[in-house]
Amino acid sequence: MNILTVKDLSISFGGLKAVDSLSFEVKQNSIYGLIGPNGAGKTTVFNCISRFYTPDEGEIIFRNDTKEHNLLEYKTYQVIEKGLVRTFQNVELVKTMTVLDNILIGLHSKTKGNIFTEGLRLPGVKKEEERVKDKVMKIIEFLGLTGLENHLAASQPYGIQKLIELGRTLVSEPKLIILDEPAAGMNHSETEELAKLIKRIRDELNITILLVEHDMSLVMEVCEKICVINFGKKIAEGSPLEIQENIEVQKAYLGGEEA
Amino acid sequence: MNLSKKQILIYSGIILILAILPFLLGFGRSTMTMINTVVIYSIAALGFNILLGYAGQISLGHAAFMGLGAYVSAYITNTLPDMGGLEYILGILLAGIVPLAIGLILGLIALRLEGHYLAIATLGFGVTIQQVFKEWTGFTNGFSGMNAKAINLFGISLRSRESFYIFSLVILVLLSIFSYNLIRSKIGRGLIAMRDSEHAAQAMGISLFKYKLIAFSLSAFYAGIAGGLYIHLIRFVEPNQWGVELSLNLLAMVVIGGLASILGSVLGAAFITVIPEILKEIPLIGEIRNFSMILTGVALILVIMFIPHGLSRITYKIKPLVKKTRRNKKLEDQEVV
Repeated sequence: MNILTVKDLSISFGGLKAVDSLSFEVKQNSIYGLIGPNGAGKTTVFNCISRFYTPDEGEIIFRNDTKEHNLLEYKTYQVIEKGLVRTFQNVELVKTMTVLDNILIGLHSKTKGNIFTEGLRLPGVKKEEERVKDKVMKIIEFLGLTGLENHLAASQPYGIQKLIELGRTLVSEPKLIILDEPAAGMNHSETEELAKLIKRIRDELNITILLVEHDMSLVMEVCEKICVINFGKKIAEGSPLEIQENIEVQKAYLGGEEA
Repeated sequence: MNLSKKQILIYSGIILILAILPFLLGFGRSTMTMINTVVIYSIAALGFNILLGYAGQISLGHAAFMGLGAYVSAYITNTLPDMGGLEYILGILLAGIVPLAIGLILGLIALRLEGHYLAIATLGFGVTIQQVFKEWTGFTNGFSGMNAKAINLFGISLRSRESFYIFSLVILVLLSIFSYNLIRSKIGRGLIAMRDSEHAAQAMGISLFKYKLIAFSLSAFYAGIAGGLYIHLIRFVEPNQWGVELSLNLLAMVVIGGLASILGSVLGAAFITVIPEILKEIPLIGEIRNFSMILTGVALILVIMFIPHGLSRITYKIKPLVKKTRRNKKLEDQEVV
């Protein structure tokens, strides 16, 4: 079953066609990679799916269990409620908050309470805070960040900040996570750890993963299916092995001779 | 962000001492008026801090909300028959609710703007409302000004500055607790997330528009309550008080006191209110007109340069300094030996 279907997606900025009738499908419980040279339009595709951009044409269908959602009908902040959540290429954390509070933000749409109950601290609020904090502590444990929960997010090293951001997406119990260059800025051993973590997220938490990545070793190791785009168009799709042997892909990355 | 039990005890102690201090020291009437003004401005600054400090949105027109609160409460308590004290409670409540409603409507339009544009739009709003105060004589009595009665709560008169002080202090404490509760739960986290990363906030399910609206209308509510108290303290109001100068002073209070800090709102209000009064007493300087405005400007620049987190967090700045000088002294001593 496909959890995400992108059909004929197109968007242009001024005269530049950033994404040109792109179609691909992501199977449930798979790890799907979207790769391409710099400026190929990968992040633009992500921004369309997470509704930061509205595409000019095309459809984005997200299937959560039995319900189908046409994501274009929703606003940016409504996407997470449907079970789809993203990370950012440059870590976007709330720098003045603790690790715990940062991850709590991931539960925003699942936390009950309004301005009166919270301002007056009615009895239910304390219970609700405890409930959501328990959930966050479980995620902190899953990510191996135990002990850091009361530290400031900004004072953590880059690799940890990326994990915090990942934790913030996990806590919302999504069906699909889209990761925008999760390995950017990480060293080799950190990338290896990340590959293991991504697999654990899929296997232990049953979350489908769609990722954009530059680090080929990571992509080849974790992805089951890869889509290669260049100048906004799909040029190849297949298993890591097929992609490695594809001549079009080699041309796109290394610059081949025009036939 | 949560206070420990010890901190809560310390704060309660400080509030209690502040509450009985005027009775022990027996301040003069003008000093008591000043202290009352500090409490009232603290309430307005508290609301403004939700907007500027926590939500990261600016307004240069909040004096209008405060003025509106003042006129609403004056109008209601002057018009309604004597209901024992209920009319004052109603007046002050509506002094908050009417600005909240106007803030909501203004927010629906203005909050589509960001940064400088929002500043200009709110500045324009402030000027417009002040003009309305001048022209709508049926409601505000125009330039002649409007008188208001002293609060009389079920037989207890708040005509004396001391009893009014206790009343306004209670309201300040209640509103501080409300702010504190809000900031440490979902809505507070949403506001702070919006301030620090709009992208992350949106991706995590926070509607920027809704949260900007919450911050804006809540700050209007606080400003209105402050205005409603002010009118029953001074018992006279005229349009010129609610101009840009007051809006800028609110901004200065929050920045000087400390952005995103409840204590900072109070410290800032005290700074902006008390310092000019002290300066007036000094010969030569006291004779320079509008010297307090100059001082506010200088203080703003100094705070931004040297203690960007404001007076409320000055201890964080001083502690390492003290440690450093101590260490240096130790080193010197060792060298001498």
